[in-house]
Amino acid sequence: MTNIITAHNLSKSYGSFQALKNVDLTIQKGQIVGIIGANGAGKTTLLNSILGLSAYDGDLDVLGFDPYSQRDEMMKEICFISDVATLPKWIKVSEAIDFVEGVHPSFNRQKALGFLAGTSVPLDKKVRQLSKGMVVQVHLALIMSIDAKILVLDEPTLGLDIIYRKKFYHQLLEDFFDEDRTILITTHQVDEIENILSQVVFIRDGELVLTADMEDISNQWMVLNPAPENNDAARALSPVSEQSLLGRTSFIFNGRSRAELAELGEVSRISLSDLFVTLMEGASS
Amino acid sequence: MLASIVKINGYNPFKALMLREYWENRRAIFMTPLIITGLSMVLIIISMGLFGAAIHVDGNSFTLGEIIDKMSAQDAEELSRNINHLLLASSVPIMIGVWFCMVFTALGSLYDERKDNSILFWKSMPVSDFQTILSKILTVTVVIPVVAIGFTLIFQVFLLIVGSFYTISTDYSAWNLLWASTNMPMLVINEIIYMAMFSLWALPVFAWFMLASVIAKRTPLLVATIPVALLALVEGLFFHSEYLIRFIGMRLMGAHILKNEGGFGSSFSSFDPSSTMDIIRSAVDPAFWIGLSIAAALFYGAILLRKRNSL
Repeated sequence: MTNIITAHNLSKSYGSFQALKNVDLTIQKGQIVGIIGANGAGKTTLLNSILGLSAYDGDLDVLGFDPYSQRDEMMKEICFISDVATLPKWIKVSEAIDFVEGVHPSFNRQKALGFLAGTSVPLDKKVRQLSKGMVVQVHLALIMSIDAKILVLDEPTLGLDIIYRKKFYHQLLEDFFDEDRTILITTHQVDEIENILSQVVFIRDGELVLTADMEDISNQWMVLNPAPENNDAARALSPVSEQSLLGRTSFIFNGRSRAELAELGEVSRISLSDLFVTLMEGASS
Repeated sequence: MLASIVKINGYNPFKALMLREYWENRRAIFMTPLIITGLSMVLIIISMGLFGAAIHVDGNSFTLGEIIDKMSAQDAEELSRNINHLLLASSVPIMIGVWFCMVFTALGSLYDERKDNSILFWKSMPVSDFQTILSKILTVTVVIPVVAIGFTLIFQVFLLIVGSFYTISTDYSAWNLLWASTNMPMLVINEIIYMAMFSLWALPVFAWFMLASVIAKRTPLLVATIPVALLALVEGLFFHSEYLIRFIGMRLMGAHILKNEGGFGSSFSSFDPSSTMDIIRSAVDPAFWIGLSIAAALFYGAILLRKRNSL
């Protein structure tokens, strides 16, 4: 396995506010990594450091580049979509294609035109005249036609309706992702991406709370819905958290064996949003 | 040929950046001089029809006939000089319009992309801040003026044609009177030299505008003007001098191109450029090089700030 992103002691402060605190992180090739945290937790700051958009303290290596001082070289290998509003309003779709072809050595115009042919996006219209969903389709078509090693998506589907969001991720997996590429995603709609992630990074107040493979998470973390008479027995196994809803109690366990829990009731895998809430509450109490 | 210039064929970052500037600033680069030229043509045609070919120059009105009479009484050399000067002066409205385009394009150059967040898109591409800012400098100080010179050429030819039509009803020969007296290549060369030297003298001011546009949280015009106004006030109060205002004013108003130090006059007759040789010679003035050094420092600052202030 090759490390494509290595951060060591990565910190970033805005005045007295520390947005990132001594973050250590390694990301390997071929992963789809979800970076999950509340608003202001430092997700975007982490991505901006990786993208060379802001200066930072500590060591950071992305594909062998120092992102801040070698951004223009590094960006030949990295694509990036932040939230949907970043395509300039005055540009025509055809001009955007021309521009990316001109500045990006590994852009494939035919591919981009192919992607757009499958949509109803008119090439001669300006971005200003397109719907929000179309703008994302244009941006995605541009980005997916670049032969890049890393794709960074910062809230890529913000403000889109559910149909576009589903399509977006579907297309990403079908037409872009393979084992030589790596995708980093932040989003608030955790549930929509949890099936495609291979790794998650939970971030809270500038610190990484948990970095784990999805597989390890489903082996480690479990949700138990015991029969009511087994509630006390479940509590005895020291669950991480307990939740009662409509007369049913569910418990979240970390590091218990499935067989042990199965004796008390129905065991299911934990959803990322439940894990997120558990971790955030656990850290604050 | 034009089609191949404005078409992207494969990897060519700097061309793509320049085209991008054209797409974004089409109004300043192309539409403004086009509209001014068109309006000037319409005004001339209308005024000829309405006022019996009267031309108003500095509050005095002449009919074309009077001008032609006067002109044909002149000897060939004087005639040529006057016609060329008249044609040069006819470009003043376009140049004034273009001057505003240069100023406001510079002020918006590094501000608009932050205002609409498109900077994140531009920065997601493998292009350095240096290349981006260079493309913006060239747009303001080279592309806008060069396109404008193209339009002044069209307008000058238009004037010669209109004049030729007028001579049809007189005894004079349009060829002798107008076309043979006009040295079009020389006129264009002079205009290019004027514009180039104007841009170079004014470069520190445009660099300052671009620095203001990279700093400004909103309204780059205020960021560009208020500190200068305050500094000038302090200078006036404590040192009883007005060096700063003169530095900016003279360079921005083209004082080194025109004989009268006030810069672009509001009237045609005060448009009196120094001789081309004098203008070129102004480059030996140390102030010229000091200005270019200041411009380089300001551009360097703008590059650093764009690198840092992308968010």
